[in-house]
Amino acid sequence: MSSELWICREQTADKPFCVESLDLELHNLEELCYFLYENAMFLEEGLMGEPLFAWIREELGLPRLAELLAEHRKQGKNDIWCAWFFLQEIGMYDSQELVPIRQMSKELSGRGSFWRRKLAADQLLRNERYNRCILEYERLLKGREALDQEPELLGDIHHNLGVAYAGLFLLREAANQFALAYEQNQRAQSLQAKENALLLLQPLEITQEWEEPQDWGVHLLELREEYKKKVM
Amino acid sequence: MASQRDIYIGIDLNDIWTQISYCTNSEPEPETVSLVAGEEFYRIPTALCRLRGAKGFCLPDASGERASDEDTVYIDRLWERSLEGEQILVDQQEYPAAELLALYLKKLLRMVPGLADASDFSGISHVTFHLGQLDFARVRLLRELMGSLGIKRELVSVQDDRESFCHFAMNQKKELKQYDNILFLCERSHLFYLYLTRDRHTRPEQILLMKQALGELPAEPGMRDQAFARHAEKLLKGRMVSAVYLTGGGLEGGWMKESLAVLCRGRRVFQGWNLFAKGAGYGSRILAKAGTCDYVYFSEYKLKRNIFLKVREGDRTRYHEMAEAGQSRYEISSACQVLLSGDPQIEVWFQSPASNEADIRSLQLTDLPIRPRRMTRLQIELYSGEDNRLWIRIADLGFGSWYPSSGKVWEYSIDE
Repeated sequence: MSSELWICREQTADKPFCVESLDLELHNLEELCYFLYENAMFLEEGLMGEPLFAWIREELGLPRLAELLAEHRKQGKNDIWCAWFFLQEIGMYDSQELVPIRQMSKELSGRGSFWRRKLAADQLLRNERYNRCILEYERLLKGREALDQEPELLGDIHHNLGVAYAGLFLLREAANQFALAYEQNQRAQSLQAKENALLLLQPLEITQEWEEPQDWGVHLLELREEYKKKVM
Repeated sequence: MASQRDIYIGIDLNDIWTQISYCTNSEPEPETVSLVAGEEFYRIPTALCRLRGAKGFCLPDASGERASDEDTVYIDRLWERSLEGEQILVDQQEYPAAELLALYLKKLLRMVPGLADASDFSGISHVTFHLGQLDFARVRLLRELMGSLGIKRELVSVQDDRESFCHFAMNQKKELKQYDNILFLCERSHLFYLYLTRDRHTRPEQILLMKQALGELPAEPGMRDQAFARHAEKLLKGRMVSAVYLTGGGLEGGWMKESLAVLCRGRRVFQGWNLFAKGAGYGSRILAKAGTCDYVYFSEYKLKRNIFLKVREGDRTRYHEMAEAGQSRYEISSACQVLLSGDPQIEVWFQSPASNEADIRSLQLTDLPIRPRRMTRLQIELYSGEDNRLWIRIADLGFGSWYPSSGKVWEYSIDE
């Protein structure tokens, strides 16, 4: 039996910070930290900007930190890096917990928002948040920015969609996505994944003798784990 | 005119009379205020007077009668009456006794040089009260009264006779505190002594104090003298005592002859009336950390151990102090907010200053809603309760828009 504690700053903002896109109000430092940690990958463009820095300075009483963030922003650091920096300074999360955010910030360096959103969806997929990542991948594929992307990248997104559908045991949808993936990225993995999905869709052959049915549930779970290892 | 927060006040308060001492950084020896300039009229009745039909109250003068008459209203026993929450009728108007006591204390403070004409009491660095009896109700009342005069509660302390004597004795000249010290205290005929010893093996030096009642002294002066002499002889036998202090009305009157001869053998003897007020003045300076203190005294009402919470901060673990050893349990009031992760419990750590070991007490938060890691915000308060015990109160605050507060509160007594 064990528990852990983190000391809070007791200062509550007189005026909450509103994240309008999520209809969310943040009232103190810890809520801001939680929000940034959980949503680092999905931060809307410009969120780590002057309005937030002003709130940190005036409502949370952290002028020095706000100043540092503004400086880093001017030097061209991206939103996720700024979120990582902020979280590291506050200490609500340890360095191990901040690794994925730091990693994502590095991967994003020099890349646009389409790539960032793809990485965010990939992270959801790794965390088995299938419904959410399907929504994100489909948004990416249907958005205008998709027209400017390389076919290989779009193929990889289809492949990951397939993995997500397989995670939900929607094998027909998964097979369709793997097929679309192979058309665009020409990867052997996508082709193999399509064939595996189709195999599982074939009707079960019943023999004359009574047989123990194959444990399809276990087989599907194993396949899902295989797919997860190969998120593109 | 005193500089900002440069005045340290000691007040010996009881129901009959009050004494007030003060010192500053430039004059660290406490001076006691006299009701009559140039005389040692230190005992100011704990009372207020008012001319009938007039509006304002005033302090009793040195020669005034101690009772109401047709011209004057005399309101005494302000301290006990305040503790009882009494309403006092003066010229058909009721006044809470506490309000009159606050006015009385305000007038006393105005007698201190540097505060007479001050617009407020911001020049006061610390106030320490000496009381014959300590409990939560008395400490709370005094802090509230001082608060009504604009003096923050954290600048107000209360100490008992042992602690006042300790501070007084340890701030005397070196030769007086070379060995043990004794204080004989006699009010009416009840005789007590306080015996002070120094443990020079510790750093800082630990002061050990014992208080003992010696019973009643006879009323007849000759027999009184003999009885006191016998007590003193018995106590001093085989002991190295460098100074003896005498205080209290019961030792006045010039009857000490044989007893003085016993007391004065090889040691210094002092008699005075303002020892506790001065001790409280020294105490104020020490508590305000105005000077170095090379001794420590652990009164029974002071915490023997530090009280901590173990908390995370990034990759580090540290200990967040809720209360410090040496703090008066009646003055403890600390709070913090934490985020909880893991099992629904709070671990409170107790550690003696001289030890590396700690005792841990786990306080269970029964029926706390299950939430993800770090999404439970708790308010934790450590305070002294009206039963004179230490309590810890934990309240669930939820977590912002994500999880509303369950409204649950847990209280535990955590006496050491």
